[in-house]
Amino acid sequence: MNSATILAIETSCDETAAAVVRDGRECLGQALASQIDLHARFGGVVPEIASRSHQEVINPIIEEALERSGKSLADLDGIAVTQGPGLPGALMVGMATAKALSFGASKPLIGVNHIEGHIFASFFDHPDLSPPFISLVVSGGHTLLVYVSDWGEYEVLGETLDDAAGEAFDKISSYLGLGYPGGPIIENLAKKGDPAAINFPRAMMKTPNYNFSLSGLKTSVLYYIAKKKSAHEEINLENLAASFQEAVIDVQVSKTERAIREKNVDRLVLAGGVGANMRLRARLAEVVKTNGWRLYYPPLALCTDNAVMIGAAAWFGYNRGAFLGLDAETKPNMTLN
Amino acid sequence: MILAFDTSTDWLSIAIGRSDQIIAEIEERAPRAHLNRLLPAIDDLLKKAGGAPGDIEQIAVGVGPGSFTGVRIAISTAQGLAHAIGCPLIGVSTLDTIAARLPKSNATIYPILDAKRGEVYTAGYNNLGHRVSDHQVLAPEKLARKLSESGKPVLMTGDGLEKYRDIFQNELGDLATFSKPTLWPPNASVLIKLAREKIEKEPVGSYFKVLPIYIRLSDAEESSKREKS
Ligand SMILES: [Zn+2]
Repeated sequence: MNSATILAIETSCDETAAAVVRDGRECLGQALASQIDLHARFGGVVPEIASRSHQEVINPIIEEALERSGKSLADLDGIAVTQGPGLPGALMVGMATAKALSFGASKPLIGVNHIEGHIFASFFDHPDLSPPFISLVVSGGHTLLVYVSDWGEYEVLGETLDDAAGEAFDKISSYLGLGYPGGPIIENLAKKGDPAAINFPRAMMKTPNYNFSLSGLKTSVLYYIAKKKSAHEEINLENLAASFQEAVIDVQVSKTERAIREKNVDRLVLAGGVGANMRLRARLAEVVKTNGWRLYYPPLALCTDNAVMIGAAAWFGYNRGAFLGLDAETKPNMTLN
Repeated sequence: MILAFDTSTDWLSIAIGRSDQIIAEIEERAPRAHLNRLLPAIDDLLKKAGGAPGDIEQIAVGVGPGSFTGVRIAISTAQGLAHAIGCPLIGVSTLDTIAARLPKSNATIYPILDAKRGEVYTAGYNNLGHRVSDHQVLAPEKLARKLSESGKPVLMTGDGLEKYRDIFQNELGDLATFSKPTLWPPNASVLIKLAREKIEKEPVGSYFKVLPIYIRLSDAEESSKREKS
């Protein structure tokens, strides 16, 4: 692998981020602007607001990341950008900016799959990590199980058929009027609750495939709340949060365990914003320990969307010579492999 | 060398100027293909003009109003180029550019752009080419009524006329004349001229302060505003 210092840009959802990463393992400088406050009053990410905000801050963020890294555009070996999956308008701001920088500074352009970036975030704390492994990617926009057989070789074993895990947390939290984003709020409440207090359905737990579905669970939680309200009974929020969270995690843990067995690997990489959930980490750690496997996850700051992970994945694209042309487009529905 | 482009409408218009001349230009209809087409077309034009990105000394960009996405593609591209090349960036209203494409006239010029959802973007320009109203977004019927009440002659242009010309014609009758469709796109050579005038009048700020003119809020903000009122 050739050494390379790459400027990476990430604008696929609600974080505008840039980072300068050396050899896929070392962050020389990064900057990030979160839009959480802009979307909070809508209870979820509003695409047009996201696009506008990316546009306003992207260049100051890029300049800040460069400045912190002590590098100028001329020092770089390439420019990387998230090509997909993500919000079309949001991706477009990053892609147009990256293409112009690459053309103006005569640097090669590398398109990165956002999910691949999440998986690569674990390499920062674990330089020893290498395929084959199973990765469980759970975030606001994604829930999927991936078999990584070799560098750059992905087999998506299954994914959510409706809501992503983070989305379900947001919806329940917003329905209860608890705020946004829902993940940390529900997790916090759940810490003091009894996960066995309410028996919510574990959808697709027994199906032989690796897909997930959360809409049924979400409906039964909303139904439970409505029933309690109409009977004027008090809702124990802590038990509700713990029981809901446990139902989500049970299915994820059981399918992940099955995937590791089927692919006969001994490593699991947890990735994505929901990967910061301590209950999920603890449950997976338990399974991994019992079976003598190993669990890897990124440092907390690299669980949610960031550009450092894009720079990490881009190093491999750079070495494969997988460069984009000036006519490159975004791929809002980009898949792995 | 000055590079100018506007992708706020279905049209992709790019021009390169040197001294007081336009040395290369392109105007093509490329709906929803701006991200894909813009840089390859700039690259082609630069080669035709015998230059490279490093030869660009100034960039001028159309900042809307128009398609939210189209405007953002133009500005993101312009900002990225200005950053990489280290040159100043000048933003010009797309309506200004469309109006300035017409010869001086005694009638007030109204560029009309389709703003979707049954509305148009417009502004009025007097015979000196000065904007005499704010940029606005409103229903074409409402604009037609307002102009008819004022009773003054108007000259309309812009590709919003494709859809709404009849409404203006019916309401305004002899008060309204319409430009030829070939003059409707926001032309980048005109944009260069306006950018040069702007540079003479005011200092050029930081390239990342050149931002889109949206006029309209996002749908989500519009409806939450409606709920409150
Ligand atoms: Zn993500």
